[in-house]
Amino acid sequence: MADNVLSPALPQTAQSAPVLHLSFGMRLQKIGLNPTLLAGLIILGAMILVAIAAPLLTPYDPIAQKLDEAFKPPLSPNHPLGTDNFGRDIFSRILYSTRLDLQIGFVSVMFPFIFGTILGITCGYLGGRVDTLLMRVLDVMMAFPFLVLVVAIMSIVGPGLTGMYIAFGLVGWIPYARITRGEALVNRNLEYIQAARTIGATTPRIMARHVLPNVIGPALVYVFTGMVLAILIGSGLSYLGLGPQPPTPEWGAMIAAGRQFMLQAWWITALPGFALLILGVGLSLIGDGLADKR
Amino acid sequence: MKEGSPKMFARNGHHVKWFARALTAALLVVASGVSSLSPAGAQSSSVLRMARNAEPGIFVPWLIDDNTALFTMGNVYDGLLRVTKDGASVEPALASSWDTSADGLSWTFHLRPGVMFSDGTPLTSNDVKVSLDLARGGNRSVWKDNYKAIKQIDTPDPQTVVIQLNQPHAPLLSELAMFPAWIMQADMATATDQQGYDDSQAWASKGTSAYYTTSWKKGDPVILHRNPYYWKNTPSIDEVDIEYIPDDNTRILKLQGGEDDVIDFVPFSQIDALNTFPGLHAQLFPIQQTTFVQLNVTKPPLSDLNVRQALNYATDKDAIIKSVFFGQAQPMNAPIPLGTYVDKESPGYPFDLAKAQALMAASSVPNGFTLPMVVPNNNQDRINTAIILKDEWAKIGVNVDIQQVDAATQRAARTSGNYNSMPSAWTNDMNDPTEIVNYEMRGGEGSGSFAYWTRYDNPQLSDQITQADLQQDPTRREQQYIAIQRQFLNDAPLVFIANLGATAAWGDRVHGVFWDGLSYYRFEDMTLSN
Amino acid sequence: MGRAAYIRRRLVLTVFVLFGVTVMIFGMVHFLPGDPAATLLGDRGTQQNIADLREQLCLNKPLPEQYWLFVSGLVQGQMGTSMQFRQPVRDMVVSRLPISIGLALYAVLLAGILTFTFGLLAAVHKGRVTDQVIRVLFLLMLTTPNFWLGILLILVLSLGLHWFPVAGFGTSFTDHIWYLFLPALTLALGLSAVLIRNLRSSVITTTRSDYVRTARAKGLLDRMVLLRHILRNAILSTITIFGLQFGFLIGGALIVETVFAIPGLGQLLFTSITSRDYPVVQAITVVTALMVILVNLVVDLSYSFLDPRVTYG
Repeated sequence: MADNVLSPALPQTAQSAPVLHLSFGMRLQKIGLNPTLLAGLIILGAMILVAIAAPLLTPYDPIAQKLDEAFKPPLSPNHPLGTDNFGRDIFSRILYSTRLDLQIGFVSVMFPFIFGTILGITCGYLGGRVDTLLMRVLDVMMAFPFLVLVVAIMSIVGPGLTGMYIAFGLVGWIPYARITRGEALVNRNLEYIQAARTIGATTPRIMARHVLPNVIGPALVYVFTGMVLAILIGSGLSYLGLGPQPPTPEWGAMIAAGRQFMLQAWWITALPGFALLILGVGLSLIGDGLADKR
Repeated sequence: MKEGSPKMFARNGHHVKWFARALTAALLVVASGVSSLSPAGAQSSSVLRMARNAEPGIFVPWLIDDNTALFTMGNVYDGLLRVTKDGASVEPALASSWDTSADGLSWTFHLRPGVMFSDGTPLTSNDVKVSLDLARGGNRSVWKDNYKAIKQIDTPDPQTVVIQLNQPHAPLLSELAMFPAWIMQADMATATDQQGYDDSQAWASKGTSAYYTTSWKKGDPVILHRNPYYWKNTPSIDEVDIEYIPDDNTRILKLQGGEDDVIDFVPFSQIDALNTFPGLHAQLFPIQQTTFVQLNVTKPPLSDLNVRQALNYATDKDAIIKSVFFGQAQPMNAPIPLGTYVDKESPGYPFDLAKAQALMAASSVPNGFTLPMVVPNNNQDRINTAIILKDEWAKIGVNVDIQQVDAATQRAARTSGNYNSMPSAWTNDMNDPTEIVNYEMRGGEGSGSFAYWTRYDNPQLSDQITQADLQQDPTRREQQYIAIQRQFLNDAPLVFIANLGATAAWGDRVHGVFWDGLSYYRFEDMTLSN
Repeated sequence: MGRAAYIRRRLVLTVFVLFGVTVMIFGMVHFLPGDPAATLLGDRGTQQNIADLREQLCLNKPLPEQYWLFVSGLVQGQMGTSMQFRQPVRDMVVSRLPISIGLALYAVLLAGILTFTFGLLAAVHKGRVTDQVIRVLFLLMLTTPNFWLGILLILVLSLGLHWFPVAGFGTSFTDHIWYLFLPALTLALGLSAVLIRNLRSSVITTTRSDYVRTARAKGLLDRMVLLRHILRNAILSTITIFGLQFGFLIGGALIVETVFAIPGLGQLLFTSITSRDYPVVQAITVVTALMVILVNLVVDLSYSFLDPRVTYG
């Protein structure tokens, strides 16, 4: 159901030759971008650049301690964003942790998205026993408290991010499966699908070429939400003491560790949160931009 | 008109907007209205409200295994003796006087006359005998080890208790002041040891101390009522309501908001800040608590004495005290907490990087090594200590690999010996050094704790400990303990860091807040003003 | 198949799912490293008293026997005794379940109000200032961890304006409503941040779809078009996420429960995992699993009510 959002407006001067003066927005439209999507991509691109170039952007080692320079507020000389309780420069820590957080966001979502979408479309479209069986498996996985799973996996696998990735892999696909299944259930009886069936298209072909493009929308929007949520869950896990090992810089861990000083050195916990906000804005713009395209 | 343009919704959008505005207004009205109904923490003047960071477990003295229950119980049950406020010695409690036979094998305790339990029944020597017998030999007691010196307890009359020992045992008085020896009414005590006893019944307490409880279930606040029959000066506070607020920040906010009068476990970083608030006080009370790093001496190169001493010399204790404890701690020079017979002149290990490097050069690993360190993930102080040590020890070539695991995994690692190093802390339960010395320095099979799980085993030192435990003369006993501490200090199976305190904060309404040397707080000493 | 038959079949399957859950949780919990007795005794544990406590807690019985005790007890409604608190687990769970459900429902209610109000506002004013402001505001909510958001709300609405108490649970029913507002709001803000994006994009997409165009072409009033077609389909994807999150809320609100000191299941679950209190962990897992399964069933059924094109077969 592709619909152009904006139909190109004809220029005012009717007398001149029929040359279309396309605005910037419309030019973007022609290459498949809209302003929202572009803005989001720019932000994400900037973050990726920062992640790569972190060592060049700051002289400090993110884990180097200088205890006599602890608790410097932002805008101190030498420390634009201040220092934390160990005297570590917060600006450096935020820059360096961009790498880890982009990785967390990406890894935590990619596999679940792919796996969940395929599963959801299959269940929603095929229905019947396949749907029932897979949905009951999903019930068991979903019913199981995520926390118990994470603690169990981390106790077995050992501390650090690996356990978190495994836990996400095991249950993260569920939202995508349920979202696409819901959409697929609605779509399976639409006329054009029935028409395709009548023509004799095979099931996988129908699923891939007709159902998929129409159900993937909400799932894709959720991907970008999911990335931010993954980092936030990581922060929650750090609050509970499970998460990347200290002294690794990672936004979620910094936010959680900084809360002991929330009432007197708010910048330690707030500034990494701000960085997360910027990433969140970028990702959400991408998500919205993609949604607007449809 | 463009497709799908907002204009299509103009009229409907209009409705949605008004709905939103009306809703916001309604919520504001409700909120302000409700707040005027609020029971603004209005309590009668004699109810104290406290917030703590944990909930109590089992409420029977010789079955206790957690501090929160312990500190609550200190207000409900008494022993024959009680630790003095400075933690240095013991004073009469349920026993008003005692004498001992010449050979030290028989101790006679005279009960204070007129003592009654919280239900008005009188205390007799039978209650004492039953309680103590359960502590040292009951089916469920987990503290039997502490009372194995006792051979037999007799009750010649209702006001007299005679304790016969297997051998002379100097720590007896401290052990009788310790919590497993607190006295419960005989019938109730016997019931606790029966098969199928419902432990929640223990909350209908029958003790002799300043307060009593009637019931408790998890999730409810613990409520203490004043015991009208208490044998000391009547406490002024009628009721204490203790709620469970796990988050550190929230506890502080409750105090600031006036919803609680006293809170415990104030983060060290907040003490100075809280004192600047009008009407609030925060304080560190020195207690018999130490923090240190356990080194598993069976894991090379920790088996090398040079390495262990190097780690000690490379530790800048003042930096840790400043950064982790915000100045609210003292460097640890003796290997046991600041209590009875601590080695006050102990040289300790002053921070000396050059000496540390020299020791490393002379050791089996002159080029340094990687040292895994297991840290419990729910203790911010230990995590922060580990982070600083990582930095400090890097200067002598030791690369600390921090492994943050959950608390139960950490305990398992400790008990099984499956670790290399581990930051730790200890609080004395009694004011005699025998408990910590045996737990920390005695190694080998049968020690129960393998020298604070370091697997250090020095049979000669273990013999010295046994001798000291048997020594009756206090002066000589002190000398023996000092010699033991010097030896252990030199062998350095631990990296000694700091002597700690307990933190608390309270509002202007409350006076007399005090945490004693063993970290107990007594509500009978507190008063409320309005 | 008919709806009634479908429900019957789902309920039967629920039993199997729960059985699967019991096996999973029992296995997982007993293979966790760490010993409950050692954990309980903490720093005072010696080899001897740890061994004594293990005996008392029946931890030395063979695993299959312990599993059988667990499951047979469950079937009779018994959930064992908490190792840490020595109280019947059933009492602990039963007293907390309504609290967790109440908090979850409260949060969902607030989230619903917030989502539909602001989601529709944003969709209707798409591209304009209102839309941008709403989206940025809720993006802020989305990217703020809830322990942070909770403390902020306490600082502003409780300590600052004195509208609500700081934390705790209160004693009477009106007290509860009042004490639970801030925690419910904390959860609701995070939840609606996700839902608003979804609702907004669904409304926008559906608005441009073929059948809405057809409906307008047929001459239906704008308002009717909005309500009957657009909203109904937009709600579908919103409800999916609602369902996902609600189940999560019952056992997963533990951070909010901890910050606000609400005696709910999430927080109990976490402290029990930490202290390896097996009976409690197992019981809570089974109970929350049951809740989640029932919520899923309701969500699935609502698809068919909302959209007659959905069939089961």
